Amino acid sequence: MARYGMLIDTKKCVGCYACRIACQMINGLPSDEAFIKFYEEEQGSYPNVYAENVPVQCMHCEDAPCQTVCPTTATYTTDSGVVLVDEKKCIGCKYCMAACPYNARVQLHPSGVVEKCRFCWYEGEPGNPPACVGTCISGARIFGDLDDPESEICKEIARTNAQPLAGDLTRAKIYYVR
Amino acid sequence: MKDTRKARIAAMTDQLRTLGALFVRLGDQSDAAYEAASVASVDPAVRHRLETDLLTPGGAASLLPVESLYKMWADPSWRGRDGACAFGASKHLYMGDPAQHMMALYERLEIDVPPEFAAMPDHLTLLCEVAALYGDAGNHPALRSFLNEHLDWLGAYDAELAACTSALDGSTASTLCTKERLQELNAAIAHVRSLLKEVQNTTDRLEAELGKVEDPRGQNRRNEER
Amino acid sequence: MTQEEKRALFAPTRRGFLKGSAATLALAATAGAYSFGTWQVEQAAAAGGNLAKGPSLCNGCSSKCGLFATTMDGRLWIVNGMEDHPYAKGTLCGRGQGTAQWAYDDERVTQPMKRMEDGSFEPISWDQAYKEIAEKVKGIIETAGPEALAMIQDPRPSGKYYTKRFINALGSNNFYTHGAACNLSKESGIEQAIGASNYSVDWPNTKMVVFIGRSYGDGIRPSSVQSIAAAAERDTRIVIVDPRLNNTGIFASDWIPIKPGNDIAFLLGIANVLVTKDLYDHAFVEQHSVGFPEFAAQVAEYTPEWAEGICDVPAEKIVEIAEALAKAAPACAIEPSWRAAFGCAHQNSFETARCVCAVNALLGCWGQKGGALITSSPKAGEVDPIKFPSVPKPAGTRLGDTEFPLVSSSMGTNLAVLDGCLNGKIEGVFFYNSNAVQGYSQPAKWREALDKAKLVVSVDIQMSETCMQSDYVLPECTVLERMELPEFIGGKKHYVAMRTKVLEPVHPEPKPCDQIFSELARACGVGQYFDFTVEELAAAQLATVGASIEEVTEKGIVELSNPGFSYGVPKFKTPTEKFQFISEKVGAAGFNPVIGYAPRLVEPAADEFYFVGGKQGIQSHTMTLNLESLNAISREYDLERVWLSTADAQKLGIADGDTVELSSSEFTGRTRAKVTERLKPGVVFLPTHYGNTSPYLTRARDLGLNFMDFVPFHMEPGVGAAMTQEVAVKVRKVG
Repeated sequence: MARYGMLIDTKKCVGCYACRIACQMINGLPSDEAFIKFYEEEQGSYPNVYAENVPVQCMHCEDAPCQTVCPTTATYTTDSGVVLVDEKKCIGCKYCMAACPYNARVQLHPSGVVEKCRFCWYEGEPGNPPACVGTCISGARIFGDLDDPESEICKEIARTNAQPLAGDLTRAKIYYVR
Repeated sequence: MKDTRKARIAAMTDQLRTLGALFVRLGDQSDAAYEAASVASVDPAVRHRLETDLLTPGGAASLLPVESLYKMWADPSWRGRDGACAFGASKHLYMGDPAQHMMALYERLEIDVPPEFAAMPDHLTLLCEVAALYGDAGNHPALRSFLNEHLDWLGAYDAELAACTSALDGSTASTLCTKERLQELNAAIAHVRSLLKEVQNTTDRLEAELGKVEDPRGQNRRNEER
Repeated sequence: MTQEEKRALFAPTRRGFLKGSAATLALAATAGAYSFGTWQVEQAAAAGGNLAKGPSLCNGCSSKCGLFATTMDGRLWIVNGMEDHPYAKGTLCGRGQGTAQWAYDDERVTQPMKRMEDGSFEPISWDQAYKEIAEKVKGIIETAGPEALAMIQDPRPSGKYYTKRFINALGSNNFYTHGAACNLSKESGIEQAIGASNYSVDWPNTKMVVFIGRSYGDGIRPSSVQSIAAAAERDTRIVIVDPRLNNTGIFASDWIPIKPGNDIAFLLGIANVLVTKDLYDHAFVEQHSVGFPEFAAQVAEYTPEWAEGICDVPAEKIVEIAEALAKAAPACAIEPSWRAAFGCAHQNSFETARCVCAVNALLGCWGQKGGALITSSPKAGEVDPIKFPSVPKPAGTRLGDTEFPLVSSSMGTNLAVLDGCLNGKIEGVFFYNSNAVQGYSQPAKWREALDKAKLVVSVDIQMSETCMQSDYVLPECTVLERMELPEFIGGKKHYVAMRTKVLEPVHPEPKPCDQIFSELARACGVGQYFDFTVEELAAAQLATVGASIEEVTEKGIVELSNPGFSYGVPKFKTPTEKFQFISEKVGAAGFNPVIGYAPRLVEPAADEFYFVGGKQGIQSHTMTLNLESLNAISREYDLERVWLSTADAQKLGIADGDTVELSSSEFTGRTRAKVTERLKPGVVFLPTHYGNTSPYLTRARDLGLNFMDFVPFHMEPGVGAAMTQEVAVKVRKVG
């Protein structure tokens, strides 16, 4: 069984928002709701500054706090490690929003369902690749099987020493080059 | 008894058709029901403002009574991944799902849409005419579902009209904002809202007469709230 | 409504707009239950519906990336970047995705409009618009001559052909691009040095590149971002010279915050080091250049210490960069830039462009692997002169060319039109795809000038600020709804691509520009030059390069015969056929013929700041902000804010998010502040996409400030560019 994850190389991301728009498209989100958020991080002080754009979305954590707190088991993890929301079971209580350390949960209007990035999951499998990966103008995103040492994503994580955004906190499956 | 009810419903849909005809730019050469506008005792200057600024696409305060503009453009919820579409959930775009359905419906009913409505087969004027057609034909089930599916956005339209009332007040483009023009425009908005209220009243009475319909999909509610 | 009104209103009438068949009533009685729900089920079952795919070129910026648009049952479904297009390379940026909405946008202009006495607009018919415009054109020609007419356009494949043909057919030479507010100074300057208006960096092989102000990460072209990302991975040294740490910073090894408008001193400092330390390419200079001795003598003054005093870059940094470049040479280059810092920004922009070229010449990198490449561009050959007759060249010179003799001949300075309206030389102005009022110079001055003109006509897809100043607005259909003439793409390889009509026009009235200008020409009595369709001309042009409409429609882009690019010093197409450290034409125009120093015009007073503008990757000029998906991003991320350095903000008591007031000699306005370490103290940065005022654009209106409102109307000597950053501003906290 595959264990899906993603690599985001902030050293290649110019912050063009194409991924956000592609994601809105495939997920049918209106212009003012988005599963991908951007944080501009400044390090250092003038003139020794480094600035990066950090796109953040659901990290598909192995220890997903949003899943643990969900009172109706609406949030679940597939065998291939993708964290999903069963919209029929979601009661919109927002516990998951409070629990997510990445602020990746979005309450949709007007359904009230609290959704998030699903790796473009439809009919039993993730997108090949997910829309955000396919549209990236600079190849800053790689998607693949974290359990396959021959996969591009595994090789790139090893080569770049990419790390989850918050270390081992939730055993996130999105790795960042920063 | 039954015929009286049929006639009553047809009379109401006829009112809808007449009212609906007032939501277009009739200009000075329309062969449609402009006489109705003249008897609605509206100041010609206000009516003119309504037609050029509000009811002309791309007008200064353009707010068209076109169903697509107030609903999701291509609702992805029933389409699945292969149906995922550019800006599907966006509003304020012409030729959305409602327009697509209307075109399919016109084809089945062997109806031609005049060229000036090519971008808006789901214009209120035409929707009212189709309702009247069902009313004339006595097809009450079809009329009931049509009202439920295609005339459920009037509240959203009215809300945008309300928000527009003083839209030009704050604008920095002084050229547009002669006082007279603003007054006319605000009067035009008030006028079109009163017409809209009549449409809403008529559809309410029609729905009461026809009996409530079950929402078959639950989608309308979603659309409306969005 | 009164009861009486209601009774009158509800008098039954059978007249309506829909026309049914004889069977309609019967069908409505029986088969009428084809509900929306039924339609949905059918659509879902049809698994994708009736899909079709066609090629076009994005109109989100002037790169014109190739794309395929897929339609479902005739409605646009999705757009994808073209794999084989050299700029798109399989992707589209956010603007490309967002601008696909244009066809269906609810705030397009969809009727010809006429401006009334009170400034309001009334819809009129095409015939009436043509008739009235033609009468005014004829009147102007009779009383003031055709030279009182002018055309300003931002080039697009069909637009640049038809607008020029139209204005020339009327007998006027006054044909201009948007260049004076874009890349006019830079291209004019480069032309004097190398005989071509642009060049490119050989990214796959370069070792070091210096950017002067330009940012691939903000003025985005996907292929450029891919090239620089790949170069950064190879540890190519990438130096960014910019008062602001822009979004290309992630690829950079050095950020050199410079005093705005003084890049020229930095470049001359480098040139000084290369010459005085004998680090320059002797072979190139001796065999392929003219004027080196004069240049060398002059450049001796421009020591790194001198440069530091002007541009505020430490002398040792200048020396280090010069030495690193010399070491990397010839596999290195100063990047040619675009609008950025010297496209049209300063009094010395033209000369800055020449200095960029001079440094590249000292490095000997012209035509070298990893260096600065001058490549060729294809064009259509001669077409049938009977079917497509040439328009006789109008007499006289283009307005502005005499006063600004160094202006690039392909662009001209459109500000001569502004000036001409003010002094009465110009009486009729046409705009195509151009929001000059908002973006080309001081907007109030443009308004004043256009108010004086007897006739102003705009062809556009939405009511821009320029349309608001026009007597007539003629609606064009949007990019995916129109076919255009072939677009030829140069470089190491040559291509041709084309916009095809992917969508049936959504609205019935808007027309493609070929049709608008052809019909207008007929109304004006010069229809004999427009007696062909765009399809006929496209087919004829494509035939001259061995391609066809069918082939381009099928493939999207067609590679043309290999131009045979090879490395090596190129043949410079200057009058001397050499690289020109000295230009006779520059001297004849009254300037120093030898490449050298020129100062910027405006220096801020003690309580003022340098004011710089720049692009954001999500917006394009002033034309995309009204699109819902792109507007939502600007609003969510507060992208309209003005940038202040942390140090300056502290001094002024301004915190991130505070409302501040900016004021210049021309304008005062308020917006919120972004306080950042990414900016050189003493400099204020404002993105250049905001502050739309047209009441027709309700999403764009009143978001942020328009940079150009702050800038005086003035023109760069020699070329007539807008000097868009020759202004200083005061800043104060107001909330």
